[in-house]
Amino acid sequence: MCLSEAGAPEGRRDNAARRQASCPSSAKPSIDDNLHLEHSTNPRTYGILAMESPNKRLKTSPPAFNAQEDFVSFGDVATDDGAFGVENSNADDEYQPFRESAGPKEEQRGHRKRNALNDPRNAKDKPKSKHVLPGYEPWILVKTKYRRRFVHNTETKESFWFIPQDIFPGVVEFEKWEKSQKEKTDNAKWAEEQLKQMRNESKAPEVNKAADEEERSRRRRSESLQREDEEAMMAELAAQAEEGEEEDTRAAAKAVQPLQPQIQGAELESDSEYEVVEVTDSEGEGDDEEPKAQTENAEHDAAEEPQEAEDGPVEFGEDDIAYQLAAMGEEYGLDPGEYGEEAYEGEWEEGAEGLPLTEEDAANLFRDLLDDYRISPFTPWDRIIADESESSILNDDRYTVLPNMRARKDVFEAWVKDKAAQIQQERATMAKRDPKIPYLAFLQHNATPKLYWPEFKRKFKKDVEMNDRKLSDKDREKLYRDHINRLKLPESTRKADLQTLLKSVPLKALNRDTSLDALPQQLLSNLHYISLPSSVRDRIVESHIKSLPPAPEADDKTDEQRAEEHKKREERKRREKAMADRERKVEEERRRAEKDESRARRDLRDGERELQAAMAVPRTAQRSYS
Amino acid sequence: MPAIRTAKNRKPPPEGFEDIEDTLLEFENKMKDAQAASHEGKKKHEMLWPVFQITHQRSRYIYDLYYTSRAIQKPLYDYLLKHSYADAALIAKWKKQGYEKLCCLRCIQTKETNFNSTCICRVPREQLKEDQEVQCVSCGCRGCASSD
Repeated sequence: MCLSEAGAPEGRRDNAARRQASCPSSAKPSIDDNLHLEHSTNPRTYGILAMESPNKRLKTSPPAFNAQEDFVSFGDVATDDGAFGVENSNADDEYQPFRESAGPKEEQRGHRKRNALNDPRNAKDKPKSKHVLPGYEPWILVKTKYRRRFVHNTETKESFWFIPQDIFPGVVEFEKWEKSQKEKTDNAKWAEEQLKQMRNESKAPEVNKAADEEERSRRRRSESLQREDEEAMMAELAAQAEEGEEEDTRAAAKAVQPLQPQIQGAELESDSEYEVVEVTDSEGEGDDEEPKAQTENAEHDAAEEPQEAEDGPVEFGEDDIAYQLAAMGEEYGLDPGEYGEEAYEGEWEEGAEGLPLTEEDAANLFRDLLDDYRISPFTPWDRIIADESESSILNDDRYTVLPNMRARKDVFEAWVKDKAAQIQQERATMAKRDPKIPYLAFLQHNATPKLYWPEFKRKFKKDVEMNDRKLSDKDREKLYRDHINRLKLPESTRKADLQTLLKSVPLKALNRDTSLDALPQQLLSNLHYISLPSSVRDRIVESHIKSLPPAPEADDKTDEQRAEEHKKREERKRREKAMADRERKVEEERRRAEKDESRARRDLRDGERELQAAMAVPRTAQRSYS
Repeated sequence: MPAIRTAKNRKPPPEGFEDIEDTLLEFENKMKDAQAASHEGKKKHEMLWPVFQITHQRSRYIYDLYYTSRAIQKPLYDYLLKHSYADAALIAKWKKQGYEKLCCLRCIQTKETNFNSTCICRVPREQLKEDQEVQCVSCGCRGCASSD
């Protein structure tokens, strides 16, 4: 009992001392990051400090918070650290008076401290909002999550739970202003609601019944609201009465503490929902009365927050980080509601949670961005991000979905790979366009017999068609000269040439369904096509197309294939003809040889007969002479 | 320096050259500017730095297009090397382990230095002293170790 009684105020003191050390820093997080921030960020410091008091750590960190390893460590650091704790806070000069007054009770501290850690409010309370006190400039009023408040001097870094007398009027003024603001917002909300209902009614005037019902319900609601208001007032009155009792006890304390003025009472009257914490500068003096008041307060607290775990540890790191996040949110102009009213339990951190986007989403968004801006995959990354014009991707929101430059570059590289592959595929499937076609169209426009080729070339050297690398300069010259020569021919010849050209185009490419805009390449790339002025030529082509039969349907062969076939057939015909020729020749040869042979045989036979005849005569002659 | 093309020796470049032509032209213009830049108030070596840097950038651009993103084909890559749009020797180094980010060939030429060692920019940052800022003499590189 003794312990608990003594522990409650001590806990509060402990807490207050910590807060005085930590809150001033967190009130202006960006400028003066003092001890607290250092400890929360420096793991090495933490390690040493934690090692100093391993026992305490074991006792103070309950299993519930072991899950959050990080925060346990923070809490421990803060409790064990001399700068934050009360025991050996010699480093901090500002709180010298506290320490002096607390000096004699040094040996009790060990026990008390543990109880301080058990105070439920110490576990979860954290600063929620800060308000400038107009006219009391360096001082600000800080409100905590549990609706306690303290004043803080941003210049001297002093913080007091008790509002000093010289600042008090400012606080009262602020209270008044706040109250009026609240009323105003309430009124506005009410008016808005009314307006909305009116609008709903006006939207559906024909549904009278429904409208009436609405009206009635609205009236009912307003009545109930009024009733609620009354109830609230009654409750407030009751609360004031309650506070009055508290005030009595406090009055006793006041008698002993001349330092503490009527501020407390006034405060309570002005706003009953504020629980005033008494953290005394003069603990030693009011030692007898104080604990009583404090325990009462503690009981009051316990009634307020029965759901709080009784043995919650003191979490300094988490609190202060949360507070700093909130402050940063305010700085960035975030809605204070995100950090505000509803976030009593646990939800505090939710407003400050990170991006809802997954990594994949972010990467895809960035890819979309690149697609939308029609970035060429052949552009170097450096040039894209160096672009500072209006249409740069840097000005797009999607640019920021990726956390850093490296991630952006990685996504860009992957995108380039995909995009280049896609472009290559598209090019492969796309039909190749004859480079002659644009040049011929250009010639038809610009070529005249009045210009020689060098003149023409000089005149149009800046044009795209004259610089197309796919068509060599030689080809260009040749086409130009041919074209000019053809222009000198009589029109009838040119017309005839065009007709023959049209007839030479296969039916598949040119038929009745062909439009003038989509003529086959075979036609467009021929010099005969541009020899006539376009009006005459178009008339001829049109009439020719009209005379043609529709496209052959069940013919899935392409022109090339057909040409190939035709070629093959021709070849074969030629081959057969050649073979027939050869056969004929061979036959002739054979016949001639036969003739020669028979003739030779006949000759031979004749010769033999002559020889025989000659042989027969001399024998008789020989006989006669012998 | 890319070869100067005249109307006579003009032969159409391989497929895909039009895609990167603008970027290459930009590099060429930058190079011309760097060459024509004034030497006023510059150190003797400093004059050459932008030339090395632009060469590096252009080579890297082509290297990335061919090896990393595979956006250009072999014929075009060969064409670019042949016409000195990219430094083939430098690219050859980039393909070797430990030389992935090499700034220029001069920085690994040990025979040209007094102590037969590479340039200071080849030293990994963790081996340098804390907050030691280096910038090499040959090309103005601030560190091109692969681990950086």
